[in-house]
Amino acid sequence: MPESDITILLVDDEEMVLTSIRSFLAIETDYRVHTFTSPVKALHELDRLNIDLVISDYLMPDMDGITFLGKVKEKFPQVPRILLTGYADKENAIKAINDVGLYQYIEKPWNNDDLKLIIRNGLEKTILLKRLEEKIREVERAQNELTEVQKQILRIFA
Amino acid sequence: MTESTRNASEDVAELVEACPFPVIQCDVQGRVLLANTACLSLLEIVNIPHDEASRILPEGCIAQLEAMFHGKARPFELKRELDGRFLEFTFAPIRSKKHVLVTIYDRTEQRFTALWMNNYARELEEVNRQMLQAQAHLVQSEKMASLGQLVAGIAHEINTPVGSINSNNDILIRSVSKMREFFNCEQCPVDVRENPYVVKLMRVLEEINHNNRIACDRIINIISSLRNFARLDEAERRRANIHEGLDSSLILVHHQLKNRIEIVKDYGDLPEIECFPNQLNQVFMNLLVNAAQAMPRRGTLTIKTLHVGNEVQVRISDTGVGIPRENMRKIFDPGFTTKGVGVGTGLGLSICYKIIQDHRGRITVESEVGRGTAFTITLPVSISTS
Repeated sequence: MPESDITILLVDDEEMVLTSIRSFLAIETDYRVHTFTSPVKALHELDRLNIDLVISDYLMPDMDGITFLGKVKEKFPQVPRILLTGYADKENAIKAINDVGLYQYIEKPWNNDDLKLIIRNGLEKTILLKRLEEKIREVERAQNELTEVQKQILRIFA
Repeated sequence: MTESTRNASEDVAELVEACPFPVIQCDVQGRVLLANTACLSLLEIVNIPHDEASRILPEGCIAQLEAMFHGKARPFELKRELDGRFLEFTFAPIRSKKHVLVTIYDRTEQRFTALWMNNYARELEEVNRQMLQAQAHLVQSEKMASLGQLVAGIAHEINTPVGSINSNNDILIRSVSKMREFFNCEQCPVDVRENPYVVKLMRVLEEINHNNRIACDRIINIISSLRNFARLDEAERRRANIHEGLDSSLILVHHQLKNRIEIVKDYGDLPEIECFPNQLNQVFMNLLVNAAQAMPRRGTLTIKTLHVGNEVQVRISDTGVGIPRENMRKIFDPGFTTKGVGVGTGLGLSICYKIIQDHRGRITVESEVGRGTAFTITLPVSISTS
């Protein structure tokens, strides 16, 4: 799966954080990146965007990051969810790893190499899951075909 | 003896008997000739048999009694403590018979009242002193608490923009290095690559980026110190082995010790203690880093642990530059540093102090300029029962 086919959703109420991460991903990767300063607006656009990974800040005025990621999980459970937190929210973040099934949390100030690695590993998981689903579907298809063939054989001999 | 004189002397005897103070008539040798009832009851109190009544008189009064009858002597007073009573004696001459009238005042009650008042005043002073100290303590911890809140607030507010700047700086470094790659590749025309203006711009960009990286690292370091200072209540309390903490802290400061500093571990047999291990590690870390910095060339770092009664002791000593006497009182004050701007935040030891205090322990320092410094931490094995 080429990087340019991958869509990342980035939510932080601070425009400067969005710019920093978007710029970093622009020079280091080919991911498509959508950014929102409001998690509520991001949720409105969620169906349209077809996202593969989501990164959200924790403390935001109109909805906190854990609630937001919880809602993303309801709609797209297979999408890896990453929480970007200030240190003061660390304990909440750790709780959220269990509650919302966070894939990872990143502490501010973040390290760009770590960020890239976490995104890549998270995507690998989604990609593997997608492939697994495809394989399962293939196997099911094959199984169905086999059953069909078996039926026909049985009919012939009946 | 005529009727009138006999009557007069009987009157005097009656008068003396009626006197509510102990009264004694004695000769100049201090032999008792007459003692009234008040005197006899006093003798019972002070445990002297009545026939030895003379023993009640203060020693050394005899010489003065004799002297009283020479020249124009006046009555005199003497004090004496007897069987826990405080007695005051007045000696008055009876010139005609060369006898002495002794009046005794029992001042015990007054004396005890005075003593009691004195003690009471001293106790009050002590309580007052303690209250002043407690108040100073309270003001100090109040200050620390609000300082903690302020610091946490500032650290939190600065964190996001610093995170952004730090990331942007990293992006700039990466971009410039990609530009450098482009200039060095074959597709890049030589006149572009070697254009003096381009060369100069690239050099300036690389320099300021490098500069910004150092500046960012420093800010992030300071924020992290502030954060540690403000959030000491985070980790949970449990039983832990102090030696594990010391060893892991040693590993972390290893890069500062390298081959330069010899480490001597003199570990005693310690029980596990009830503590916040992360916080104690922070203390060890601080003290170890300080020790390493106090020994710019070579030196010895000694870590000694002891188990004494319900307490454990950790002593971290170095053979470094030592602390000047005038700085000894200030070293645990927040913000006090001698390391110079940008090296120390002045928070390390004040954090140590607070952590040890939270553990109901003590931290003390001994130092001699040119010889070295030793910090001793004493911690209770159990926080709750101490």
